[in-house]
Amino acid sequence: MSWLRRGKQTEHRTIEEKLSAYLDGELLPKEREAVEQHLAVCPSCQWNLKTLRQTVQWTSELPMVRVPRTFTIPVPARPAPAVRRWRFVPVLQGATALVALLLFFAVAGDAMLTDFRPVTTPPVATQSVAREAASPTEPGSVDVAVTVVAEMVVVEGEAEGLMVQEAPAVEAPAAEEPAVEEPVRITLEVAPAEGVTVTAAAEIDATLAPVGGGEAVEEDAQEQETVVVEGAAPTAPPSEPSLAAEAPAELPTATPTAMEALTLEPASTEVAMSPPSGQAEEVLSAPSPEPASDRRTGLRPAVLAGVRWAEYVLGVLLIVLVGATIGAMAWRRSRR
Amino acid sequence: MDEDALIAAARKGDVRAFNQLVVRYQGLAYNVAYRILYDPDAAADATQDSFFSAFRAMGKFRGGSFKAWLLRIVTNACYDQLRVKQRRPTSSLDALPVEADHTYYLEDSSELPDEYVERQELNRVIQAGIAHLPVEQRAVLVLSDVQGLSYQEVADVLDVSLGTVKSRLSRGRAKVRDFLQEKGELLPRRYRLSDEPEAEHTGGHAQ
Repeated sequence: MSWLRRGKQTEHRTIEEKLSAYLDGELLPKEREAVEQHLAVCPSCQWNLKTLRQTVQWTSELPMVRVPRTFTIPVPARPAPAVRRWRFVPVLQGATALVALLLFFAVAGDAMLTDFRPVTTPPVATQSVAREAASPTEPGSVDVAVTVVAEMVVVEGEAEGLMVQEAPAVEAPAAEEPAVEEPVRITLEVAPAEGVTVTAAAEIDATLAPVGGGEAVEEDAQEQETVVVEGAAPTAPPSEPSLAAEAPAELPTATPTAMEALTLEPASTEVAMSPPSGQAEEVLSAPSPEPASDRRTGLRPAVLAGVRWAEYVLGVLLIVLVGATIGAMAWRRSRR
Repeated sequence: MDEDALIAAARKGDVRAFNQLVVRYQGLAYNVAYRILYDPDAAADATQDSFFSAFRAMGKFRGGSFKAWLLRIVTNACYDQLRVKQRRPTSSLDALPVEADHTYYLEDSSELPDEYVERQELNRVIQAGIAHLPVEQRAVLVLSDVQGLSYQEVADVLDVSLGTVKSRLSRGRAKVRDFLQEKGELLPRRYRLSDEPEAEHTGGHAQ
């Protein structure tokens, strides 16, 4: 009977192993039947099943423990906007410093171009006619630069008195013209015009390039005639000649010249010019310390106008930037 | 937002969407880790590691049960924690803080404080019994009996066959039962298992 006992023992162990699944209803119908048949006759397996069921019951009643903290993943940092906000101030400071530096250069350049002389005092139209005669050793080539720079013309008063007087001062040095390289500056005053505020910047750049022979005298005079203050008020006398036209005409020694380019673009409307001779003389009496080359002096007025414009723009910009920087710094401090 | 949408967004790297999944599953994940590791700090570490790994591996999630996928990551993180623990053995399991810092939800408010304390003592012994199991049996038993997953779900989480689940669970339950019986004298009478009938193993029932 030992084979039978061994067989029973094997069955007992097999059933024992299936009790767990039997508990969960995870056995095939056939297996379940076998387990139930064995259970009916096996107190050990009955106890086994009972205690297992109790254990599983208690285990399933283990409470959920509370999560000690949240396990969310940190969202990629978003203080980026804050950082961007604070960079605002250094940028403003840098821009202010840069503009200040540029303004310094502009003023320095202005001073160099105007030979460190103070700009003629208002009232306010300044027209300078710069002429350079070629050296007498080379009579065939003469460059003449004519520039009119009118800044910040403020015209007040009546329009009737519009007239232009020739600058008598020009006549005096005209005779000696070829001898010296000398810029001729003529300061023009603007006679009162009716309640109009005009801002004008005008520039004439005229170059007298060499032309063969002496043919050009007439042409010269004629072309210079065309140099009028365009855009002058309709109330101005039609015969109103430009200063630029007068001045070179009284330089008989600068004969072999021809004007190649001559522009004049005043933005002003009602402008009348009457140069006080005193000022003109004063300007003329000062010799140019600058032995610049002809081409350079031809460019100089244009550069000067650009520099003046830059000074103005940079000045305004600097004021705005300083204000913005101070405001931004104060705001940042208040945020901290 | 439903889970599929959250999963789809998380797969594209949306941390916020993934964090919504974290909020949904962190209780389950932490509890599984806690029951397997029987150590609140290690369980928290394993849970956090699991969610970081899961977020990195979202691209590899190929549909199916997100819960099962996540729990596999959690059990693997638990195995890692146990390996670390083996390398640096600390105090014995019995000396570990036994749920001292965890308050249990009273499932039945009619339970008297005495009964509550007694029940806590039973839970402590059961948890200790689980902690004495081999790791594989522990994982199966926690997933099945503590968390209530089906055999098939457990098989999916642990990537083993149904038969393996059955046998591991059977052995694990028996060991916990034996542990309970061994410590039974420490428990109140109603939490003691009855004694095994004598001599039936010798084949007495066969007659």
